[in-house]
Amino acid sequence: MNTAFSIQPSLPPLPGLDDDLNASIRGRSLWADARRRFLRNHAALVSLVILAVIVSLCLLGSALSPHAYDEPDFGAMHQAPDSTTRHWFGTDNLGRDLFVRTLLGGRISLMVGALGALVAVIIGTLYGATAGFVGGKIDSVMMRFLEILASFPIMFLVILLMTLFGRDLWLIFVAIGAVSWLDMARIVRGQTLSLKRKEFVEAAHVAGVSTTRIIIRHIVPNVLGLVAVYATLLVPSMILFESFLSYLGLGVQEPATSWGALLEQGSKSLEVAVWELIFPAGFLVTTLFCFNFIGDGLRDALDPKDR
Amino acid sequence: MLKFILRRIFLEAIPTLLVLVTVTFFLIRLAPGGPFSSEMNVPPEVKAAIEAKYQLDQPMSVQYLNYLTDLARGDLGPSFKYKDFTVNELVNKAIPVSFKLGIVAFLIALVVGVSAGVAAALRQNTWIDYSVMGVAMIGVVLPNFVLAPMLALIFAVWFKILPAGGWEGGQIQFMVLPVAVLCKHYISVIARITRGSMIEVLGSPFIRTARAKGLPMHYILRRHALKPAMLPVVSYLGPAFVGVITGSVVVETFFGIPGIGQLFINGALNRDYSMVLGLTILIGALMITFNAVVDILYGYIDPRIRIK
Repeated sequence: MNTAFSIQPSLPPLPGLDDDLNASIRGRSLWADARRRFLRNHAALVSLVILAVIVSLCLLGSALSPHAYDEPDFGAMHQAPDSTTRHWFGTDNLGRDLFVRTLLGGRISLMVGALGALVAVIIGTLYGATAGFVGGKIDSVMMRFLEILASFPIMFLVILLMTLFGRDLWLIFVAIGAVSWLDMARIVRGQTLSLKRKEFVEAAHVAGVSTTRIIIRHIVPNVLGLVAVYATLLVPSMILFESFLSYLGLGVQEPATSWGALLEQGSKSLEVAVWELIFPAGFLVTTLFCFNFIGDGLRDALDPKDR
Repeated sequence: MLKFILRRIFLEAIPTLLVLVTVTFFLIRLAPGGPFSSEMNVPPEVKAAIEAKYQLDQPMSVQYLNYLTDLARGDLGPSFKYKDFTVNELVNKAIPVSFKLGIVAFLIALVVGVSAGVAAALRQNTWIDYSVMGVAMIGVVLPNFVLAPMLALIFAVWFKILPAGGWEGGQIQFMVLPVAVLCKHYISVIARITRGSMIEVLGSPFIRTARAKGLPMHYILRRHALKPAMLPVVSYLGPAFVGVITGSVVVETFFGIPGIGQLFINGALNRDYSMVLGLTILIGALMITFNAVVDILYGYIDPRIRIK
């Protein structure tokens, strides 16, 4: 997003006006406008702060605790949260520290979410933009293929893939990302199609701007906003998907963990150790809410349809 | 209309199904490690006998054609894991369970979702609207595998008024929690869709006309507003149905319900290839059929769709 926000074209100084006036009529770019709108959205801003806290906690991880994530302690199984032993979130069924495991699980869940979304965004944007730009027969063949894929039981196919090729972490997000690009491709294609016919593109044409420059200056920034919005909304659904797989025992493997895997363990020891469920669930749900609020905020800020 | 239906079935549904069968079949056959590679150190003749039994010794094209002909007769082949059962026998036992669960959840989701959505639309920007939409937001974001253990914790562990799992032939007390978890997401989504389209319909000229005629509000709702407002909900029924089936994976696993979802997961965990293949195709077929039915239904309700 940083690079995206830095694209702020400023108008060339008008001759005949003094410098003060020139400074005050600086053009309001798409991105400056969007940022202003986003900063006014309190839910999204608060979510951004909370998410930043969660992410940095997850990144710091084991450095915050004297315990290791994979170090069983059979003298301290299912221990309630206790600050004297520095098991802030208690321990799990093998006596491993839950605080460290929750943060490690968060790191893996967030990584799968981000990388899965990235895979989906790259495939989806390229596919959608190609179909939209090229048009004609190729477009309809590409869209037909998309429709066929969309009517597949995707989740079952991913589980099938996990069954066949083992439960590798890399495979998880490649598989999840590779099947989640469909909506992205559709959105980007639709946007590209409508942008191609917009007056400002025609105006640029008439003014003699080259095609590549039209694409870079006019089409890409417009599509980028939409892509950013849906990428933000894709991350939580990726996290959810990974948690789902891990919950079913098809995701990450011990001793590594993710929020889904922790929840699975937690729901097994529900009756003896509530904290094993509460803490991972709290982190997961909070993260999902934050991403949703941020995504909504970005959509309100960037979606050209609402202007 | 007939042309629309025929095109939807023969040019879209059936080819898609065929592609699905082909892709899944070859994915499984080309995967590293056969289904029996876990049974190490078997003498070669035993291995050959096993492979002959499951026709794994024949060329791929013959296997594929055999599978297709079996499939056309509705035969999903023998289970690789439960050696005395065919996939059909296991699936036949599981289907009624999943369907009972799914249909109850689906109906509840439809009734509650639509009523909540209509209520929110009629009282737009009041506390009713805000609370319906707030709950719907939570319902969409909160995952099944968080809600299920939470409900079990509250109702089974703390209050001890409902069982934490089991099926027992689908007695009502065993169905309450699974159904609640299963329909939560669809209640939320249907409520959101209904609210949105109802607000749009209520603002349209023909409703204003009906009001100007002095018709009572409940009559306008029933007679004029409900049908057009339901169109987006109908088109959501396809994905919702699929969601109920896939959502039941978590619910069935957590509550220990012997349905399709649990069968699929056990198949996946035990690397029971024929089971996973059969169920993927079965669910894919259901999904494709249901989407086609919804499309045709939609074409029936809204004539604009037919001419595309």
